[in-house]
Amino acid sequence: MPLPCIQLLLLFLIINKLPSLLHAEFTVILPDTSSASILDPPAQPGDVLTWAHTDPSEQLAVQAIMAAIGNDWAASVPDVCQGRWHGIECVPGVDGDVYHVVSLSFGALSDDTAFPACSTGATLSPAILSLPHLRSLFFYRCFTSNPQPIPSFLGQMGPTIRSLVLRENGHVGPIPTELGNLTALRVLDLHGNQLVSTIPKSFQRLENLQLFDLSHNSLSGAIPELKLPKLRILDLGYNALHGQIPEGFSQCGTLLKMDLSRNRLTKQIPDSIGKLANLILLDLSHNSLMGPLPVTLRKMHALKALILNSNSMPEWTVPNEIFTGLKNLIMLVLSDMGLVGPVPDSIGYLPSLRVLRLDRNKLNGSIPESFKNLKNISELSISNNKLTGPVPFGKEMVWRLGKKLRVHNNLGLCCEDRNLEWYEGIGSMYGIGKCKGSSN
Amino acid sequence: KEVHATGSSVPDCSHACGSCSPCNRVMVSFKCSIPEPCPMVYRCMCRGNLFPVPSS
Repeated sequence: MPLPCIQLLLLFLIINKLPSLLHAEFTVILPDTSSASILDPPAQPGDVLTWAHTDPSEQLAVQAIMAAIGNDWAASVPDVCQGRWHGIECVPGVDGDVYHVVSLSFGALSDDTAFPACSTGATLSPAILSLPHLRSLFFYRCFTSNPQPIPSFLGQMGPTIRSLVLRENGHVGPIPTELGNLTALRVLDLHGNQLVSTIPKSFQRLENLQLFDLSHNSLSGAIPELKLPKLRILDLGYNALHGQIPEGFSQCGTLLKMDLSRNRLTKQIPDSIGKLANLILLDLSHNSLMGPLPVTLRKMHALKALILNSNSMPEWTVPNEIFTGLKNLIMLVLSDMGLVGPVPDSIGYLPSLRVLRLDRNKLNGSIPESFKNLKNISELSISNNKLTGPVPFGKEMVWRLGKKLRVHNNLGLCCEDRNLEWYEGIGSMYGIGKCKGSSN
Repeated sequence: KEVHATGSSVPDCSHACGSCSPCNRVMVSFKCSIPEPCPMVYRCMCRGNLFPVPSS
């Protein structure tokens, strides 16, 4: 049905009047005040609930929480589950005449999907405990101007709470042990705060946890033995955690990502890590882990990224067969580990490899001929070693890698006569001389 | 036990612009280069400012 002229005119006026107010990615804004919009669905089963009202005690609790965060306007909303905003979700109770609050979110995740903003004096109201049906509580960059500890009363939230996110929220002090009472939690995200002291042992009780992110804090002490059977994402990176990697993580067979980078972990990586058959990313970089690497590594068939750089494994020779099972490996980073001996030629047979960094070690011998097999390679760094002999790569590979091929600062890498001419124009080959005795 | 509402409904913007009023529902179209109907989303709008819609 064609739009009547008056609506076209209105549309024209709106488009011409508002462009400076709009996000760049938007072009057209249409008013949608009519309830007879073509996109309005027919009457839904849910429509009969429009007369349902928010549980009165939950209504008061939401308004108290909103006021403590600096959103006084919520006090004038007659029914918070009917007059919802982006950041509150409700579900009707069993009788269908009462709404319960199941989700509350705060802070601007981005300009385009902003939850209620947090004022400079924002606090977290204990009225949160008056929401017995709450499943998800989310705060992003909310209390940064008013740094405060994570309140221990959060540990008294109801058994329905599944997701607790306090991300980049400016929290100080230790993690309250009481959070271990929230045994239904699937998501616990305290990333990017200033939390200190140890990871509570009570977290052993969080058996339903799937995502566990305490990264970018100042947590210390040992990582406790956590046997979390449903865990998928573990991120404890950028803390000051001591001790060794707990054996208990090998019980987390569902683990997809394990990031313990930038801590102070010591001793060897446990053999049991090979039990993590579904692991896709393992980042243990920037610790003080010792060699040798467990031979069970080769059982980790799902692994796509293995990042172990900047650990001290001095005088350790990488066994040739250690990575042979990693058929899906895309990224292998072994820089700055004090490695000695030859470069394993088996690396050249990793079919999926795209990024290989072996720089800043004491590797000797020559670059294996097998590296010519790395058809997908897009970054290859073996600079700052003690390698000698000819660079084996063909013209096509060297041109494709360009600056992402780094071979400088080795004892005696050289280039054979047949390649000399076209190596000359390539910056990454600068300083690589002609091989002695090369004649072909 | 809870009754789970299924399906979706057109968002109600009446209290979705915080302290700003009146808050009205608008439809926003994204830029698209291909000669096809562009994808559209709902937003709430108050005095020229856009706000995200409540869950529905």
